[in-house]
Amino acid sequence: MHIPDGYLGPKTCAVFYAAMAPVWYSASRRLERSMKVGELPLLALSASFVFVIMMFNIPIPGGSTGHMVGSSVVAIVLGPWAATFAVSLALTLQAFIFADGGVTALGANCFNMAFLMSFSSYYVYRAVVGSSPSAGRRIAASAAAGYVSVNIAAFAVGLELGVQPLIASGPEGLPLYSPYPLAVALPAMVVPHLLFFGPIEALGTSLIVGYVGRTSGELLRGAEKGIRPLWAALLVLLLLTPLGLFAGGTPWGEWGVSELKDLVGFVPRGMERLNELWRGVLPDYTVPGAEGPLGSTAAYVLSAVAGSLLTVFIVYLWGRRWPRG
Amino acid sequence: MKLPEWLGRDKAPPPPAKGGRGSFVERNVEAVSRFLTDVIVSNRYSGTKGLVQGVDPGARVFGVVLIILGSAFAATHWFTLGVLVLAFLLARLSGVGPIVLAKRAMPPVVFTAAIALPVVISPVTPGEPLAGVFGVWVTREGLAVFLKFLARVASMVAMVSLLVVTTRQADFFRGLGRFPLPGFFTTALFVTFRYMFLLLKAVEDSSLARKSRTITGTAAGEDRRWFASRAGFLLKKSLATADEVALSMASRGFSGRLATRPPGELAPGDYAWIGASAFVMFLSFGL
Repeated sequence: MHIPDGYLGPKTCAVFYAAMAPVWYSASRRLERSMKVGELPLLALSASFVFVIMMFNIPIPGGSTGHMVGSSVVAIVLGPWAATFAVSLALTLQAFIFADGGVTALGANCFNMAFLMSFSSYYVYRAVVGSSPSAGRRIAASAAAGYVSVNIAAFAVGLELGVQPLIASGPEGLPLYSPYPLAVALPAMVVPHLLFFGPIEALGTSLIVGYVGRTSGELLRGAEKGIRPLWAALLVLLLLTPLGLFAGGTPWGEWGVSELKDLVGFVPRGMERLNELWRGVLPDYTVPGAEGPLGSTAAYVLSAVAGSLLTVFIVYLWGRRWPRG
Repeated sequence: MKLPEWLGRDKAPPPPAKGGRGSFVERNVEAVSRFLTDVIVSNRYSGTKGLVQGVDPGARVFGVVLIILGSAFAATHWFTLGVLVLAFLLARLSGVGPIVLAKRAMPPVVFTAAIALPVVISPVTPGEPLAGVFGVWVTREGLAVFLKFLARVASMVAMVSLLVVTTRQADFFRGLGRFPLPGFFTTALFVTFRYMFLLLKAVEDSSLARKSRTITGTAAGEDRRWFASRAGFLLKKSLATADEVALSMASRGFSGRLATRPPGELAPGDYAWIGASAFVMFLSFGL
């Protein structure tokens, strides 16, 4: 999961450093506010735990071994902001002191393993465990949190590697960084995580959280508040987004000009004129160069994420303009 | 005293299988000892006199970052190969043998070579055929992509490895003091590094204890229960140690920022190092 140096182009690295800068700032401000100065060692020791747990082999069915990332465990015990910060610390040490994971790719690695994994696992755990957890529910929730979060991170890594040939190529059109397109990079990351590394993360997270729940249940209270129905519904909707991929044909009334011409034999002049006015940022939910079934799937999911974030941003601006009375 | 049943058997029980499920404890011990060896090797070379060791740690980190940025920006493999040669030359001038640097940089380079190898064949990168069998060709374009990618990764990893091998960990944290980073972050990073070894020791001790008590292979379920108890224990130990560390820091008057010796003035050699590194980076823009 650690992206080494040289796999991502400078533009991508800069984007992820820029994306993580406000997250790191916000996380450290929140932690400085909510934690007493004396609790700083808690974060550092959690980061040490992540570092060490990545070296700890887990025996898995079939006689092999694997290791987990550990972000989910820290997120469930300390919360997503603290986990984002702690895992970022561990990744920074790995990159600069032990040359494990790229220095230029540190922003991307922190985005995938610290930010995405911590937040997704925390909310999946809260959604599944509810407010009155039993031992079995804790195990199921932590397994789901580990499995979903590591797969989300793997999908993100596949996307980051897969877009490199599209956005960074030499004068002769050959890729300069990670050479595989989305159609190869995505399944190469997603399939092993769905089948192998995901179960390891699920197994490791459930074993540790199950043990902590049995011996020191109070450590899990923070994440066992359940989740408000609105947030649960939104989470389900977000996870159901890919269902749109199974829908065939064009929805009634959403025809393009060429389809309309096929259907009724002509295109109204006004519609033809307006059609050329603006094509949209992601026309037909596609990204230039994202071809094939996997490329179009990735572009579709990317469009959904971009649309959701834009909507939240607009509503946020609206809320700032007219605060609740 | 009643002897265990297996001691009375004619045939001795099989030893734990190598590479099989019985060896996972050994893998833990190996992982920890490999890690500790790396740290010791780094400390051995970072303590000696040499070109890179003579540069201020902050300037050293900054210079290496500039060079790897140059490697990231470069469009030709000649530049990245040049950076790779530069890394080995700097290592030589710093008293670090080429084998030490190569061993350090090797794992990500070998991994990259393995995963990027299919890019040379025609189904992945169509182009001018060089050689092939059964209708699958190694193409000139594929080979160019493979070599460029490998040279870039190797050069960047070699430069970071050089930084790691020539920089004592304490110097690295002292060097961070020169950068405008939040004190909360640098302090937490330093404490993380200090206490990582404590947890690693706990993993090593428990793995060795387990190994010394195990004569034959154990069931996978039992191994997993053991992992759960050790990892859970490690988490609880981390949280308990955090409380103890917090109390001891508070009792010594810790106010939230690590008190380190303020970095002194940079020497002319440090400026020369930064200038040379910046030159390498700017050179990459045109290549």
